[in-house]
Amino acid sequence: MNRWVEERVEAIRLALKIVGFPAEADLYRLVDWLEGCIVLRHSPVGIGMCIHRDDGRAVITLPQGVERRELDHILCEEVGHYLLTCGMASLLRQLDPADPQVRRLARVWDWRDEALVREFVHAWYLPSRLVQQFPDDEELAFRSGCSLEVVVRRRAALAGEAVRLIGPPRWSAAREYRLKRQRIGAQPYLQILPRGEARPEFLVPLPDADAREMLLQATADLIALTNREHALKYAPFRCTADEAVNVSLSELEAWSGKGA
Amino acid sequence: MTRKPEFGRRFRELISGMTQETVADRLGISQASVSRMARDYPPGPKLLSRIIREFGVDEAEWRALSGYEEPESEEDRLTVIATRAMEEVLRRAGLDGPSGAQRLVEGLQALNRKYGRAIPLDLTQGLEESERLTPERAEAILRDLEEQLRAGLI
Repeated sequence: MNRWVEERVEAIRLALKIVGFPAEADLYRLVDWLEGCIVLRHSPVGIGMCIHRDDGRAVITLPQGVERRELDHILCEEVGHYLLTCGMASLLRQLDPADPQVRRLARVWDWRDEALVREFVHAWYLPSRLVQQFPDDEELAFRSGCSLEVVVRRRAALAGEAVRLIGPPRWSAAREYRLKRQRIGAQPYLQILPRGEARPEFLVPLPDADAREMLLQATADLIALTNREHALKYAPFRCTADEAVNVSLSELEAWSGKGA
Repeated sequence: MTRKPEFGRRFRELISGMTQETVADRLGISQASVSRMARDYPPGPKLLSRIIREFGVDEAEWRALSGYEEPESEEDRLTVIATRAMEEVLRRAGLDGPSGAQRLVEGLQALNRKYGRAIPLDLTQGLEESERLTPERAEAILRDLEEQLRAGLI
């Protein structure tokens, strides 16, 4: 069992408020939640792929003409790639495919990445707490919609352990940022500040009716996202650098109509 | 296919400094095929496209060198059809031709050279384990990647 993968899934379930087994729509809610981080597209390539861009976002391509269940599985794998891997095997192969050592290293990265992604998919469909809660494999298979073979493998991998978050994980943006509330006139705002700094990096307007809900969501987002993912998701609320405002008197006169 | 001495000369210049084994590896073909081209026999259209992409040479010039711009004789036309059919049969029998993974890696390198940047790409089930990655799919992926690069998406 890989604790990092399990923690990522647990934190995502918290942010998406998923209590039981994920419903079909939850995977698409996950993609929506990653807005700003993922570009989703379809293409007749016949295979799913995830390309990691320099700016930290990823372009996920889904094959056309694939059945719903299989498509969901491919999407889940590719989201796992976005969250857990960085395309290292492919980069190595482009470096020098003639070198047997580079080829071997690329193969090892491939295996490692695929193992992480497989674990992510299993953790998504079979969360560790629910595996513990349902000791009967057949019942677990029935409730989760997974095959008996996958259920047995997952139970063996967990070895009776269930992962619970006991604080923000070490990879989480919550380790780097804190939240504060602020009011400007009647408008409430949520400040997201780097720890130890007084100036907010993000300023989110809080609608009065949903203020509590948004506060909780922002806290869960901080816990479930890494710094880079959080910065991409909250990019529309990023505070820009201060800029001095210099308006000359002649500009003012022109503006007021006096200069005409 | 008739011999094209000019093609052979240019091909030998192109691969000078490389072993035939390296060239065969890069193109995903046998050493015998490399040797045949070095002895003035131009490749089939598919292999020619791969050479153009792999070595980044001028497409029009190399098509002309290989004789694809000239009106073909009936004999040439039949030879091309027969060669293509034979390549396809061998490929389907798993006896020749590059695998999907091999093809994709070659294409990624060619794109890397053309656009000056490596592409960090993850595939469903990985590159080598994927059952879906046929040579045709690899070609489709490469076309798709080039579209994405041109559109500035990646």
